[in-house]
Amino acid sequence: MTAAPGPTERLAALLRRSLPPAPDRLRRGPWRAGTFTSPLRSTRLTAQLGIALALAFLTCFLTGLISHFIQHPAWWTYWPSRPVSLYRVTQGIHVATGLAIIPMLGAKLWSVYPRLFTWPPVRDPAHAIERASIAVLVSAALFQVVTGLLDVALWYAPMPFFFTAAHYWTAWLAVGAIVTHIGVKLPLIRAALARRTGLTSRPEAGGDAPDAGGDTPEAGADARPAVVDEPIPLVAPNPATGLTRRGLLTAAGAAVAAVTLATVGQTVRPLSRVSVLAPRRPDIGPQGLPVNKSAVSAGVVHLARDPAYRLDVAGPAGSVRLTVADLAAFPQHTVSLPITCVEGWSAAARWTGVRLRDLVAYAGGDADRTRVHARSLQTSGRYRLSTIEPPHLGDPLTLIALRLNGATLHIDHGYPCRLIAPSRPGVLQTKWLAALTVEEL
Amino acid sequence: MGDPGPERGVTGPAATPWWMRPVRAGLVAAGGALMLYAVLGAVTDRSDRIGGHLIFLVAVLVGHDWLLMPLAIAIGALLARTVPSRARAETTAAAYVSGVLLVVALPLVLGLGRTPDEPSALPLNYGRGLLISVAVVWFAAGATFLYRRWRRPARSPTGEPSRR
Repeated sequence: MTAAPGPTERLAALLRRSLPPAPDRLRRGPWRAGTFTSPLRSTRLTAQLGIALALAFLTCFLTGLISHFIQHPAWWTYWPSRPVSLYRVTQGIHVATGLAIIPMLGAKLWSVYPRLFTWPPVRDPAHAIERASIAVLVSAALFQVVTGLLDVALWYAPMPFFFTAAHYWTAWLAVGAIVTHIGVKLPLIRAALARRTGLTSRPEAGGDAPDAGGDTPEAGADARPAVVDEPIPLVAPNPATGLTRRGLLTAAGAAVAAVTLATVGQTVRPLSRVSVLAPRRPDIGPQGLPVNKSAVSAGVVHLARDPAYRLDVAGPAGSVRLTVADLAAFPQHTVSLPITCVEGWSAAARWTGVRLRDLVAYAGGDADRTRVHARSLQTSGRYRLSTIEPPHLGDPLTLIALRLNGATLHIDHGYPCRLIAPSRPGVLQTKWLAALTVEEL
Repeated sequence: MGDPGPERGVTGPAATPWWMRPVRAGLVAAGGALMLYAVLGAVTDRSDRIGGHLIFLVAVLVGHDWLLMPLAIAIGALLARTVPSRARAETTAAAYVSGVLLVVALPLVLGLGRTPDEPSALPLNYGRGLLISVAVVWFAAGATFLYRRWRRPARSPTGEPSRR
């Protein structure tokens, strides 16, 4: 970014060349001055909501990446099997934060809504680019929230794309747009957060949102930004007439709390009775456990109930075909493990069955130097295959389960046998197992 | 994305610290690279179905900017005109929280994601859940209003007479 004359400067001049003025007679409807009258809108409010939103999006992005790379591992990915509830926590946070974004995003977009009707709509090419990038930002953010909500409600019909892929790529788009937006608005954010009390007489009471949260390195001459780009009532109007800025932030916090309390019981069991809008109840389902894919929808009812059912186990020592009775003849272990769905619900249960590493040893493999490919009886579907890598394979809690909460596995939970491992998404806890293939590393 | 330049009239030249320019340029460039990665990824991902993806991106933007937000602002304006000023803060806040709950609950209340073979999915009566949660919100708003009146009985620091 040197000031050397040449193409850079010419480009800068081109980007700043004013476009012909928009005719004033087109300035109608919401474009008229004075359409938006709420004195509550301020750069400071927008900046504070923006920082909260940026942190929430970052949280969703990181937890989402974790879930993505567990399901689509790259050569560099590593995911431990302990703590047992690690994935339960990261995915629970992903969905809870995503839902909490709804009120924050609503308030943020409300606070900047008048800018949608800026006059003139476009000043110069640079302004046009900036406005387009804002459109991308808002669109991507709304897309993530709306598709996430539809996914949690299992309502896929309105989405003309594959949810998982679109939600993943739009996450990168949203985060890129947020980073760009912070870059564009940095001076505004800095100025808005550096200001303490306002131009009007009545100072705000103590306990204001901490300025320390924003990065305001008070360095020498720039301690106090001088000019402000719009006449902002830094102190909101008399509380008797409506919300103050702090009142609005409190309301946003209350909305976050309300949404969270109403839904988080789908993974935090003590709150399950409070969460009247939870898409799942951890104790509702066959054998007291929710089901994501039923045997009917997987098309495995006949195969699973077939008396000729065998589990194929192939390894370095050759292949064997095990009946359910054969599996039951192995040493049985009972473990307490949560089943965690990518949709954010989770529920703990007691599982009984054979340690997977015992089966690997039986097939002639070493659990520390092998991975296992599990295949379901399902003949189609994205999640009929899964791979168990060494961290989970060697874990004594990883079972081929035959029983759930003391009874034979319900067919919707994967009868005759299923995989259950700690800290793993439910879609990878393969049900109605048909084959296990031990691959040496 | 180009260099957006400093915001007009935000800070005087003296108030701009030395790091502002490189940091902004770095953020804009990094964000642009991330967005480019997203676009390339979505276009090359065969499972994504980019046409539907684009339509939905535009639909949520239009739906929000031209439907949802005007509706919310209209309701806010209506409340500002009809609710006595001393109760307006709690009313506005409660209306906002109720709106948020409605958005969250709507796909659940419609329940179109339900399938008969999976009774454990969406097992609750979400219409009832919505009513309960909204009722709790308005109860809390009412309690806050009464508490505020009790702490600061009908006193107006700026001397503005309250309506009614």
